Amino acid sequence: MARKTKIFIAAVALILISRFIFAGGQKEQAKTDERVVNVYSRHAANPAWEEFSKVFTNNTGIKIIGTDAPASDYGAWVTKTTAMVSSGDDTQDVLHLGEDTIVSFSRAGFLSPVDEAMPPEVLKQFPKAIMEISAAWNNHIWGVPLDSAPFFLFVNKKMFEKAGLKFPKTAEEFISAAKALTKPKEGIYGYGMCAGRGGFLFNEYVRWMMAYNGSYKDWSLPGTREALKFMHDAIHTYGIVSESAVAETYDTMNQKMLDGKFAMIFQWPYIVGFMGDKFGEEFTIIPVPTFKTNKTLNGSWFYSINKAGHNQKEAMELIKFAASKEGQQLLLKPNNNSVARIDVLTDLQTAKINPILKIAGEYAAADSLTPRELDENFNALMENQEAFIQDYLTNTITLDQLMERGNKFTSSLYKK
Amino acid sequence: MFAINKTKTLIIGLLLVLPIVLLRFFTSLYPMIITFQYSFLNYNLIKGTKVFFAFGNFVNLFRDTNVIGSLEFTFIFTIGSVVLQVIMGILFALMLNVEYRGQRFIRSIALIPWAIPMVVAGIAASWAFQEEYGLVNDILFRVFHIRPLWMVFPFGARAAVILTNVWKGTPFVAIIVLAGLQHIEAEVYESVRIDGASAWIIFWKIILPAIVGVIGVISIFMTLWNISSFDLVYAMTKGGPGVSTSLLSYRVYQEAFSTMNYGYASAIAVVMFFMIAIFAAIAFRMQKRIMS
Repeated sequence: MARKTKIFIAAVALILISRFIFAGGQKEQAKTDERVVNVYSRHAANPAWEEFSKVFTNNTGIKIIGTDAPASDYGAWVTKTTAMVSSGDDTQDVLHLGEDTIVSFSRAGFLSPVDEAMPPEVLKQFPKAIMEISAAWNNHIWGVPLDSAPFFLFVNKKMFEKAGLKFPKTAEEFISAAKALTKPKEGIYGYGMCAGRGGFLFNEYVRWMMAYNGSYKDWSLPGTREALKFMHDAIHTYGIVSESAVAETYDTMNQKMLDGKFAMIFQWPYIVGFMGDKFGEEFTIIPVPTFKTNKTLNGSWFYSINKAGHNQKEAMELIKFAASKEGQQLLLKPNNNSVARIDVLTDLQTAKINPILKIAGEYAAADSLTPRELDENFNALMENQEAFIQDYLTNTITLDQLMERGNKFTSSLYKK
Repeated sequence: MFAINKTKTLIIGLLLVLPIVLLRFFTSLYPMIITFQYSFLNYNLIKGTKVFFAFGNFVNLFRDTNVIGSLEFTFIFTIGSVVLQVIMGILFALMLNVEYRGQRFIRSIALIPWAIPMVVAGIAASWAFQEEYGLVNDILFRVFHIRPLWMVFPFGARAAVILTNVWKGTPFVAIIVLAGLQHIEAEVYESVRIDGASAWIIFWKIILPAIVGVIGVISIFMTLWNISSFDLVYAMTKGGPGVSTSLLSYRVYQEAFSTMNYGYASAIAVVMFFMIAIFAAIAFRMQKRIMS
């Protein structure tokens, strides 16, 4: 082999080897004095977030570099963030987390506390239930709530008006109205239950358990059993819910609501964006009817600090801004018409801009809002309980068998 | 002199393959070693445990009804998919082997299902089998006036998952079998036709023996791929209804990423590894015997 060829081959091999050994983990260095904070969030792709970023940069001199998170597939979001934090990925400083992941990650030691950003005068501006149940653990606070999203009861006004029905306020009125509005041959049902796996069924049964004074963490409570029986009866006895409920996801449920196939659904506020101008005219939100209680879920998203992130100080500055009144007001639009700070929620100007917030305030005033009480066992509970409950809803097992399995599994996670 | 040249050539060769060997080590061998290690630990990120657990994870998984259920469906999914993919693949290949106008175009579009990412196919299939808006039920309703609830009951959901997997994998089998069919010379067909052989005899006596080796190999690979399938169930059913469509690999994902129980997830992965390894060893041995 010619000498030049050998040298060339050796050089190529050395370059490849060195690139392999030294590649990865190195970021392009920003300009020498530029401070940056890397944020992994579904806000990153939202044009409405630019204003928030601009104002933050103007106030602090720190540039936000946003990386888009998979907003439409929550499972993928959880998988990506879990892979990120568990591998010690240091490329993201601030993470946009749901209630379940902030609970899991704080216990697993992947987050830095944000106590500095939440002194008492700031802390009292956030709903106590959200802070105590989701954001606080082990005498620290692990994230700032960005929104307070109730699981609203949406109704099709036109269907009710056409049938000459009033909006239900009690359990009996709810069942009666749903029965009157159900036309199974036309595929129209009084209530659209979303009982598909992947978190949809979890939200549904947790909400019904709250309505009957039960708890997904305690299957010995009578209310837990009553709630599950109601869900089953809604399909097989009252006939107000389609048999296909166990295959329903939010995508299909939303579409059926918009198509006039469902008269009532429980859903997060984001559906208002799909309803567009029809919200108010054809669709509206009504107060939660009282079964044993008038409770419904209240969900939140958070900004938290990745413990492995490079820019801890800059991340804390972002958390402080996100916790401020100005920051929360700027997050209103990126958060699909929702915000967490009470003084922003109750601000008259905000309510004028966004009628959904006014309704959220009414839900809060009626004491309807309750967070889901997530803890470190949440994912294991959800995975297994959804499976048992789907078996029951499809008559694969009886109610007694469901309660036995559910009680046994749930108790095993909390035994001392 | 010759020995020195040989040594130099060897060193240069090793240097050139070193990057890919290192890549292979860090992306395949190292994760395997770590997975084996973790399978013997009680390693849970949420509970903060990382202690030696001996065979505890393996004992637990064989008592876990969810894992047993996943094993059962993995078995059904694999056998059902491979049998249908091979049969449909052979039929499809025979169709593609016939000469007609537009044959080239048909051959080129035949691979499209296989080329679509599995997650995309899974999401599309979850809508296709949707009882109200789905393409499948729309056709069934127009022809038979029925709208089955595919994704509601275990049997229907399993059938939908297997059918989607068959739709996705059949073109690949067809193309491989077609390559085998191309090796049968045209004169062979001509001579048996002259002798008065029917289409069935031609298939059974000429075509099948010629492609049995190809079928054997492709069946083995399709089996191995189907055993470790994950993305279809992830995108289409999330293992539901109940756990009826939960595959073993999906169980690994749930344990690792939902409950962060790395030790248990690793144990399930090790069991999968041995299943695949034992099957591959037996299958290739049988293949050798058949071919000889």
